[in-house]
Amino acid sequence: MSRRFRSAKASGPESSEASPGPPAVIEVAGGAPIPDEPDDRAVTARVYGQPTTFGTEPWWSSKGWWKASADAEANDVQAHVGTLGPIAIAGVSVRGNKHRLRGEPNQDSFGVTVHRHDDTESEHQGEEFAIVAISDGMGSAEHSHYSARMVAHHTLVMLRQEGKRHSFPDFIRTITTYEKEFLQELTRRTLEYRTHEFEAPGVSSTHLPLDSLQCTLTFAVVPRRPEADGTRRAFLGFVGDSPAFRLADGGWQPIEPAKDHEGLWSSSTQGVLGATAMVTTELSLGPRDALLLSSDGVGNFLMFNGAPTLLGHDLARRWERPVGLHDYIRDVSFELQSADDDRTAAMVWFCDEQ
Amino acid sequence: MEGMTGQEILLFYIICDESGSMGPNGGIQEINNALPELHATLAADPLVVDKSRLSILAFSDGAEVILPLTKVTDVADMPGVRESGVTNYGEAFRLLEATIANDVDGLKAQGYRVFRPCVFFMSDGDPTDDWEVPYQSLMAHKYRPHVVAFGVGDAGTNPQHLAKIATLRCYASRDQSRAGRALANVMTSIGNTIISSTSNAHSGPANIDLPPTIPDFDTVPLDTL
Repeated sequence: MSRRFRSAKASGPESSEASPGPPAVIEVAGGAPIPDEPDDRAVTARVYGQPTTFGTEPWWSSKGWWKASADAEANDVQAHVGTLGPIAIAGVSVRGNKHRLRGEPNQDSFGVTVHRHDDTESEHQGEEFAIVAISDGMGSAEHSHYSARMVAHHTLVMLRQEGKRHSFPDFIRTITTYEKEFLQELTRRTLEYRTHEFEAPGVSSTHLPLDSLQCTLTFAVVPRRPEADGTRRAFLGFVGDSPAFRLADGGWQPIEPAKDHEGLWSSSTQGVLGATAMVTTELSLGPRDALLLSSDGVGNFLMFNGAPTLLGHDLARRWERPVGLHDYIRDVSFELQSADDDRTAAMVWFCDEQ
Repeated sequence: MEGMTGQEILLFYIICDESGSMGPNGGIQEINNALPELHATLAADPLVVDKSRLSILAFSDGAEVILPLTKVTDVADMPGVRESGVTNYGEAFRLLEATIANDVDGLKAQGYRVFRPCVFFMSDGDPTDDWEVPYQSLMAHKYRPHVVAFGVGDAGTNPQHLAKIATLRCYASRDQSRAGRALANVMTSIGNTIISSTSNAHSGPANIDLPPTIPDFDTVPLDTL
């Protein structure tokens, strides 16, 4: 047995290397003519930094890294785009490599809807809003692929119901005043599933630890019509660590919401099921701004130490204005070593006539 | 940091006792047999390859880095250990502190998001030097690692020192006569821990996913201060 290890690289181990300098964004098609017959082993996503090991194999490789899901639909890609007047919304969720490797489903989910205020007695009758909600299954929560979908769905339904009854200012007041009741009702609806129905757990939620279903929630309500100065006042809610960003002036601005009523992030804000408080904030968005709600599988890699990462810089440029659905799916499917969690990104753009 | 990827990375250090007693009890041979198997296991996992780095230190009279912090697929042949000398824990801790500081600083300068390192410390004997000062220095460092300790042979029978060293868990072998066999189980557990911890590590503090039990080992209560 040799005392010394032998490197597989000519240049030796990583720690003895000179710093390679900032890695470049590699455009796979990179200006080269697109081949008539695409290489079916090609990595079609953009690569930031060094290519991932996972990405060196096609999904059908005999290595079996990209496993079908045994327990639920894998949801390798979930995507929606649509408009509400001048508002353009694109949302994509992509299964992460760690769940592909384990044969587990995507534990992120999101939903998009619109609503119209119908109170004929109100001066706000006819106002319309876009609602976006995302949810990220927490840790090793076994059934969170189901609960995340339900939380996103029920959040949209409940916010739409409130929005039909109230003008936007009253809507915000109602949600913030009755946040405890809102979250209790959201939990009740999420946990009242029929066993085995549409990927629901095989046993009642009363027989499951809440941790096995736990997930985050981040939502945004954005009015269709801008204020006189062209801005829009969006309302956001957070339970857990799924981040939101404003894209303005070519850069990502993390939306750091006000703390909860005690000025602290409480343990109850870790997961939405059973939570009694959420963090809410109002945000002014300019006509050239955009809003991103994401799971941490995307949000964690946009910035580092307060500066944009390669990915963050590139997506800020690419997503300054709406992009095509297939381009958007490709963008969210980026290749970046260690970014192996599920990814969800929902963008809201404004396309008002200037 | 502009232009960096913000890639997350977990660092694992295996500290092997290669003192003279590790030869007769089969420990040296078992470590040398197990390291290539560990390497093959880790290199087959695409998430471990990209998201973790491994280093191995050996100690007896002195201490030596026998595998500098490396991506596992960048290793063609794993190094080995060889029996010699006494069991100077303090030498290992001194070298470990300097090595971790250098490694973490280097990776941070390259734009990595570095999780707190995890150390797997294995020994078959009581320390033969004044180890507590260098240990305390290691633990006072801003990059102080998590420590998992494994005792075989005499250190399995009397794990009181290892229980002081471990910060996460201390395992003690029940069978003093088969230290080599026990180390095979230790290496398997280290491989499983690296794979599981790497897969589950995401924003916030990383959890080191240790096995609740290792075959033929007891879990030793950690020292309380």
